[in-house]
Amino acid sequence: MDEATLTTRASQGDSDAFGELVVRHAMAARRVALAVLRNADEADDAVQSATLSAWRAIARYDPDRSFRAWYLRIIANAALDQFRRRRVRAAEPLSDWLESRTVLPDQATERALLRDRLMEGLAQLPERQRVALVLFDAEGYSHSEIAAVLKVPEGTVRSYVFHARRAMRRILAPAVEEEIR
Amino acid sequence: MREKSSFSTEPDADLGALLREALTGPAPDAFMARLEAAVRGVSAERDQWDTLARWARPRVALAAAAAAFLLGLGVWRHWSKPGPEPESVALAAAEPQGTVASPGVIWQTVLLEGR
Repeated sequence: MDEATLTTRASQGDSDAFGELVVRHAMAARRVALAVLRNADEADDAVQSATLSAWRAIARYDPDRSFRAWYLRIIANAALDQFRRRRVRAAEPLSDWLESRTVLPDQATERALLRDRLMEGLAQLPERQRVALVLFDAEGYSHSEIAAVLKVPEGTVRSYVFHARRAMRRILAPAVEEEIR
Repeated sequence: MREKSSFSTEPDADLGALLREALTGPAPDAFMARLEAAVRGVSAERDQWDTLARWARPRVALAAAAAAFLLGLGVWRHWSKPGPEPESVALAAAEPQGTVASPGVIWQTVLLEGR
């Protein structure tokens, strides 16, 4: 079933159509939540509760507009809210799954190191830049879609992406050179 | 990734792939299964409420109609009932002072005589 049919049905309260749409966009939702929260358990909880909120608010969804932008906006807002609430805590541990990884063979270890560095780099970015970077480079969203998700002007999104990329390249450059060698 | 400008308006495929890989998180299948179960659970809950609402709506309407009928009947009976005759009221008022009747007894008398 195509996305337009699913969104129309979902907006009329069809839970199966809504479930299908969620399945299609859930991994992108998880990546956005994980980029913001950097903790897999918290990210999964945020996605789950935001998805249920989306279902309860489905009557307010306009099927003529992009479902993924609407859904990801709810996810991003939920993750950003949770992040703000958590920021009052003193320490922010790296995500458990990164810390608990076992020793891997050489090539995989290098890749894992690159991922670790990437996660550390993300941690240094302001959370809105993180969301913009992930949506733009990893999920293929346009600047205008991200502007709709974050409710900021398009120019601000361009600035977020620019600064985030520059910071990430600076952080990742030594690890990439290492991998190339 | 390094060759591209930070100003580029195109997504950076290398950085994007790295981000997707790093942010996929552990056990994606389990995550999907949990999410699907949560969505199914909440929609089933909503279906139950919908069923209950469908079942209850005609019964609530029936109960409201019955209540309205009974109320109407009560009002009609109240207004159609003949009032106490003036003579019997006068007799009741003229009873000797020694026999002090309680207001309840007077009303019972009035009602019985009114029949």
